[in-house]
Amino acid sequence: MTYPQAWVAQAIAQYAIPLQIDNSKSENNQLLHRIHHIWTPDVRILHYDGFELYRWDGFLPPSEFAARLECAVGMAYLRLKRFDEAEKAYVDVLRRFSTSYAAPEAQYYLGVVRYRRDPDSDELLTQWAQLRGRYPASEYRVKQSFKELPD
Amino acid sequence: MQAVASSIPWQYDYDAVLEQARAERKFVLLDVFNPG
Repeated sequence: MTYPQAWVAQAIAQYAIPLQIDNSKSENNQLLHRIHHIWTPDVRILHYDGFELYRWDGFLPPSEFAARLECAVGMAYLRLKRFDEAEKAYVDVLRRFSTSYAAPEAQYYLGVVRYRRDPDSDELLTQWAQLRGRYPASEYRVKQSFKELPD
Repeated sequence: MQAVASSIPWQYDYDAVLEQARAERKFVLLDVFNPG
């Protein structure tokens, strides 16, 4: 994966140490087997204990990559229950990359973050209502569609 | 795929990167690629 744009490198550096593994080198086979690698590019966000917090396969152009990276960071923070940081990442995706393929996921999980931080708030339903309005044809609209069923 | 100049400062040692990430309290962005 190569991106000549400095702003992509800056986006990565803000959150992560970049590690690149060549799957044609035999010395990497043990690691690749351990992580069940199957296709390239294979991009993962890892906790420093090695746990995989988010992953995706396949090429994305720079703006889609940046949006997906920010979403990945949001999910990584969410899984670590660092709700304020997760919220910031998802809000950033919606502000800067609102037409990206990652945006519906950010909208969905923004509600999840706010609900997990404060279960008494209405934010889950509020954010999912935004999801229905902004991204009606998205997979994430389907994920919340049980909320649209009659009681 | 022909390699293109990248501004990303890639590192290549898995264990060392995890240690660095632990010290800096950052995540690791792992990219598995094929140079062909």
